[in-house]
Amino acid sequence: MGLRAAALFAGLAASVTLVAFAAQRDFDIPPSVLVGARPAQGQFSPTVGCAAASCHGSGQTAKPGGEHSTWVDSDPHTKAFQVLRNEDSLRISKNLGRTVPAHEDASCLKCHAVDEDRYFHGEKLDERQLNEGVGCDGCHGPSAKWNNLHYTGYWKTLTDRQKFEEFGFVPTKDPVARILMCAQCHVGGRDREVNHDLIAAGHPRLSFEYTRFHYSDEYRQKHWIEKTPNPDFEVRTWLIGQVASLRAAVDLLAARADRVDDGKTPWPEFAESSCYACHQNLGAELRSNTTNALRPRKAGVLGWQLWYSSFAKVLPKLTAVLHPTGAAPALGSLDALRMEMEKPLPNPKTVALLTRTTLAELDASLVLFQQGTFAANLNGNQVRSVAAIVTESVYDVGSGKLRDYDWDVLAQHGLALTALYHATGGAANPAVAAWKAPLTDVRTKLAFPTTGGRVDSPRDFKPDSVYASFRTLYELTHSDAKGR
Amino acid sequence: MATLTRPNLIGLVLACTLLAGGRVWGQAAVPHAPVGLANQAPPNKDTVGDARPSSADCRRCHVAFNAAALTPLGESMKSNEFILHNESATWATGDVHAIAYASLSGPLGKQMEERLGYKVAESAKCLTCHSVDKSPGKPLEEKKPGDFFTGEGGVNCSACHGLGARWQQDHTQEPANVGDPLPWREKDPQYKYDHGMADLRNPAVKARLCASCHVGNPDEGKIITHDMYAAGHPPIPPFELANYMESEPKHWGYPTDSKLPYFKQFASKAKSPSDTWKTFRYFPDEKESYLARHVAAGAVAAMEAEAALLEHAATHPQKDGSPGFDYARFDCSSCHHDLKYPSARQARGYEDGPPGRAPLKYWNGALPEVIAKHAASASDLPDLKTWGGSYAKGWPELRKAAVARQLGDPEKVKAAAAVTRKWCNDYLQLQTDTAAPIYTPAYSKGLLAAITAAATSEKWSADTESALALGWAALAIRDDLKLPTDKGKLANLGKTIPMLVRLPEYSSAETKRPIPIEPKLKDRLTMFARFDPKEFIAALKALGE
Repeated sequence: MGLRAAALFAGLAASVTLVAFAAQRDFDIPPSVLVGARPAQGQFSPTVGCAAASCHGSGQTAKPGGEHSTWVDSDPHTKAFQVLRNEDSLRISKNLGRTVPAHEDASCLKCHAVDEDRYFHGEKLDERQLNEGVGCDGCHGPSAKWNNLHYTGYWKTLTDRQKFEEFGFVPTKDPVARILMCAQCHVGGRDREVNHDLIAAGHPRLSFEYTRFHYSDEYRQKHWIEKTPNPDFEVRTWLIGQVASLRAAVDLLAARADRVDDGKTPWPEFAESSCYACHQNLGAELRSNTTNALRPRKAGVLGWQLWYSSFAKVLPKLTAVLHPTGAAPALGSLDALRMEMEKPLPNPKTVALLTRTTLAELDASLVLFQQGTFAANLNGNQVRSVAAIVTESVYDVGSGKLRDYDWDVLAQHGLALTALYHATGGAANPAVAAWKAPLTDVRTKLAFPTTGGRVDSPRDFKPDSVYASFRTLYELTHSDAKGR
Repeated sequence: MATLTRPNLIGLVLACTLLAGGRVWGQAAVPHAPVGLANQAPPNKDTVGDARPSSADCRRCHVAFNAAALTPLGESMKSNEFILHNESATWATGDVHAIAYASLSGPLGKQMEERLGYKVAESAKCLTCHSVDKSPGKPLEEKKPGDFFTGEGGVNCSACHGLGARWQQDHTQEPANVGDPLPWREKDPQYKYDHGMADLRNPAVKARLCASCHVGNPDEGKIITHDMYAAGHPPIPPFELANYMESEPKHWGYPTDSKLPYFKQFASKAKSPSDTWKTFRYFPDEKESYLARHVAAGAVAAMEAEAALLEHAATHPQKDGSPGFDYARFDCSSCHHDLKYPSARQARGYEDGPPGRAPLKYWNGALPEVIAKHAASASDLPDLKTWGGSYAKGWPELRKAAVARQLGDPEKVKAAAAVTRKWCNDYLQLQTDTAAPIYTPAYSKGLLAAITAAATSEKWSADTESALALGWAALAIRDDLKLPTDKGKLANLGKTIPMLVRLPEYSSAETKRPIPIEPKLKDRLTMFARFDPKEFIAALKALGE
């Protein structure tokens, strides 16, 4: 009991400190009841503390008890720090005119290692620790306060919110908290970002879509077991991923808008815009010169965050299917934010205000998701309803045209339908087997060239080339629904 | 009276008609001044007359005027000694300016109309360049469709040679005595300018005039914007005057290669060097390169025009108060490129600041930088040397101002643009006023070497448009210096860049009208998109010295 009381007291003290801290930063962090909307706070520890054979280092990969072993064996996050020493990183640093190499550069270590805070404050870290890359604490939260508690009975009595707010533990079993945590690096956060300067210097762009990352070939072997079966897991995390990633993107924009006057922050920040709106050769056929798509934007306008907001308009419809007990989220301010951001020189003060409203709306939606009242045991009809909404969002049956020609929008719709296809069993399920051909076609047409060195843009992509397949997918998802 | 001859009578009648229904000219500076470029006042309206945009009368002589058949009139004018009598026909059948207005209703024009949501053939924003603006000085927002003459399908004689009724009438005036020189022909350029005729024989004047549309001119409402490009306006290629001149069927003659007796006198010493200088602003006796003067004036006038556009943007905020910079003011291919590695841009480096910012158009600096550095190191003319040495205070500062904030720091841009404009004007003035040869054969050879070195450097070849501007300039000067050039090697270079900004053929055999840009655009842009610095460098180097 003594231990429990002491821990509780410590927890309360920490909580008071945090509240005071949050109050100081009221302007930076909008009041929110969302768990995981900001990085977990605390002191980091090296992974060695987790790797005991009796804890997470059993040596048996992909099995409970072997989490650390699995991570060491195959997790891409283990390479996060090492890549800072490769040729690409050397070139990026050189192009940026940095005076320190990438593996000592605070702005790189924010995402490519953990425990960078101490490093930034002048404490030269042992490179062996940095060399672990994104270790346990990187995702599960800085463990100084919880690593001696998280196997106790007391720990089980705590809520996710308490674990996060008081101990710095990220409740990764909650898909909302998990994806918000991933997004801190894979989209960007208030203190970390991949901006256009960095991309221009050679860093790949960030284009996070949760299900694509979860099921990526590099990440086949997981150090955990999902409790939620498919189709529920993949359909749910796809939707949560869309909202959580958009939330992270808007929060990053808010941070950028707040920083404009520091004299260092580029504004407008080109990384907020669709990459291939500009990055296409001025050849004879510009991608916007398509006959099979509507004109979603004025000529010459750079689409704002098309990657992360592809489904913003159909979010209420999607939520109505997957979260029938909750109210449909309102995203009324997103259009105003978009309108401002699609001006050649958006006003940072206006943007700062609009992002606050948008964040509040997104958070309301995510809190709803976090309450966990998702429709369970989705049946084929429900998944097809979601797919039908997705195809309606890309194909306008009235005009018989695609709603957008932008690569990001089309790629997001391809990924969404692919997630739904796999969630319901893919080729093995006769109800969706016919999606395979058009989905494969979309993927082939959207692919970047793979010959002639590294190409980071869809050089040969023509929007008209995916028209027929998206129309087919629209027809398939709609005729199915009617037929049943 | 014998002096009241036919052309004069008609001219008088026409002038009266025009005066009756004439429109008032705009008040801003006319950019066609022959001398005193910096402070040239617009010509006096009394000596210029009303705007007379139609070129119908030009065709009376410039299409098929048969001098011999019109004796004694033809005999007295000896017009076949100094005009080709086919200027209007050449323009009408092959010169793309002749369809500048008509093209607004062509396939691209229609596409733009649909995407921009306004009628391009009626919008002043388009008509300032695509037709004859009868009042160029009138502010853009006040211009109405009626302010433009569109009747002849495009940019006609008066658009470039001068709108004023007075000179159009006076330049056909007969001599008092049969056999005497035509009174107009012997007038000096200043007199002609004062009476409304542009001094297009001066490369500096010509360059400024062409650049007013081919780059832009905010005072005349000639500003292309990014939405126009996005809606389908072809990318405007880098402006290199000599190449642009070579890319139209010529309705004029270079003094050195002309068959016209009046022109030949200048090259054959029948006229005094001062007469030649006064008329053509170059020195054939010293074998000065006529085209080098054009290359230099064109490059500097293009920079001047771009600086004026930037200054305008810096001082004309958007409606919501944000700075007036439009994406069209920045380097096209810095954004519009495929993201491939290894990257020529990354190999070149980023001298203005971090990568990822929108820089000014690289090509605007390419030729002027080479010309200035060459002048600073090799010119015997003290003023030119000083001018060349002061390059760093202008455009390079403007480039820095443009990336000091993403999409330009208005205050810094405004200041640096003013310095750049003055620097450019100083050169055009120097080239116009310095009564001594500048581009002697030796000096031109040195300039050619400097241009070739720049074109084949990592710094400039990383940018396709700079490579084009430098490559085109090198070809023009080579040509003028009559350097032996292997045709096969030239053809090889032609596989890496379009050798002419407007690829032949010029005239449709079927319609006898100029071939519009649409069918040629694909080839040019494809070549542009596939530009490979290494291939270009090898092909240009292969031409040799």
